[in-house]
Amino acid sequence: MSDQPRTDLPASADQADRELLVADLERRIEQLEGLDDSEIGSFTALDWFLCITGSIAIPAIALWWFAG
Amino acid sequence: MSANGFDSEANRSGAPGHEDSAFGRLPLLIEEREYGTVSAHTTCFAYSIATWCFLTGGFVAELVGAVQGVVCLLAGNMIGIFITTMALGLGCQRYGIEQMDCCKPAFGQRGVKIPLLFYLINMLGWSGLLLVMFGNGIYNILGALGFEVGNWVVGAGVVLGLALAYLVVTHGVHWLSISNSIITPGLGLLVAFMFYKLISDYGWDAIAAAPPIDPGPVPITNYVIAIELGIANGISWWGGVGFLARNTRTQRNAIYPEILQLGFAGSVACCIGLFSALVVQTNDPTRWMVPLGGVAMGILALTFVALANVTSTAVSIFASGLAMRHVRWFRATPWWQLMLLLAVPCLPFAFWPQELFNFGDAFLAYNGTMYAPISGILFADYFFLRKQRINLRALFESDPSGEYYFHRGFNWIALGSLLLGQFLYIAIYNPASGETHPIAQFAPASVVATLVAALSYGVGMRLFNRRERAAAPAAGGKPRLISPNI
Repeated sequence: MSDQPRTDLPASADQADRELLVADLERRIEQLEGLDDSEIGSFTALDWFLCITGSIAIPAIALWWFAG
Repeated sequence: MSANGFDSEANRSGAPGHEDSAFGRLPLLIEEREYGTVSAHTTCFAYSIATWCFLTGGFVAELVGAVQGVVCLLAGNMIGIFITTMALGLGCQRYGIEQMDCCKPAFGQRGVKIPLLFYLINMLGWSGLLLVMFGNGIYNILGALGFEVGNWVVGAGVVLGLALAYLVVTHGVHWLSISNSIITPGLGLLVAFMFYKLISDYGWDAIAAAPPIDPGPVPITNYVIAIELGIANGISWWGGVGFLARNTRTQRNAIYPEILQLGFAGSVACCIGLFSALVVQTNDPTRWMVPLGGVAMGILALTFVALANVTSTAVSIFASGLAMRHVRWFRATPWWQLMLLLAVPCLPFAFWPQELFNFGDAFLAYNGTMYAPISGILFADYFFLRKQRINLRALFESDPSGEYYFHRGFNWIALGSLLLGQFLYIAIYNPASGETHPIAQFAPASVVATLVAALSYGVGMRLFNRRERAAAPAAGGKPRLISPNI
């Protein structure tokens, strides 16, 4: 992809498809970067606590306990 | 959505652009994502019950008995999933991006080819092992029917399985979806049946008393390696985490289903494999079915497991094909050619099936070698350096002025940290030789590799990477992509 302005007329069908794809990508980027945190749901300190306890702390204790 | 995520409503709708987003790299908008809470859990559950669970259980049974094996598989898998999931899951979910793109802020536009290479090794390695399992299945079915055949049948089975998988992947997503819709519930039933037979025919006492199949001389070393295999089993989900998370609508749905289903439910399936291997005293899952279920049920189960292996192989090759689209050379390659190309690395399994199958446990541990440092680097990058904010535009910018271009497309700090993590992993536990360092008794190699790679990357980036790049402004004032890499 060159650094030319994309307002140039497409030279082929492939190039036209690509222009559409890039335009779609730009639209998606704008929408997703503008998303508020509340729109993707929260992952709170409580969630972190539960995940660390269940996935790290308890398994580590179990591994140590049964090592003998 | 099918069990493996390849049959999206978006794709079936045929709407322009949907295939590029669901199956390509376009970031998924919230309204395009398919998984709510229930569907995220069911999809992850379906993902977690696969024939490689039997392989993992069999590998652990070589080293430790039932009680320690259960602990290693459950605890190790949970730790491995946590290491793998947190940064990738939350990052891919927030921006709807594919996981290779999620690696770019750390590894750079070109440096991301390294995780991509690991991804392909992981997928094709598992495919090879599953194909050998398919070949062994045919060999054992013929044996159970009274035919005496040579070991060449296993190699021929690998070729046949590969040909069937190729047929599935070149006939499109629908074939995968149809086979998955039959195989996944069937595997769930098979696991339940095996558990019932194990408990009713042998009982827990016999299972718990069964000795490991081929342990080393030092019990603590066996236990340490079994822990490593458990963690590596969780970490080897690295390849699927981003795809699942990207399709979820909330952050919690990106994390909890992966931890509970891939981590916990998947380990339970591995434990059934562990018990079976201990009772029958072989790590080859295709030799469990006849002793456990009798000849008729055994042959039926074997046939089913053999078919499930073809489906799993097809899924792996399909996913590898999608990943190959990241490489510019393969973006325009016809799909059938790409699939043929990916089938080639599986061919050695046809010539040396048993020899390569015997490296299965080392291969499983190598997943930890490959992905543990990467996971640590991504964790440090996403949570500590970028505070959970990625420059989405820069992910798709190949121009050297892009924020994630670094030096000639590579972030050498990330690559150096990756090498350091891998070096430490192998110093603590060498999967090829099976040797362990005494420190392995206190800290598993994968955990050390994760932490050191994360620390090295975090410190390195703070000290040496101060260059900030701004997005290129367009005439209207809005930033725009100069050289989009889509």
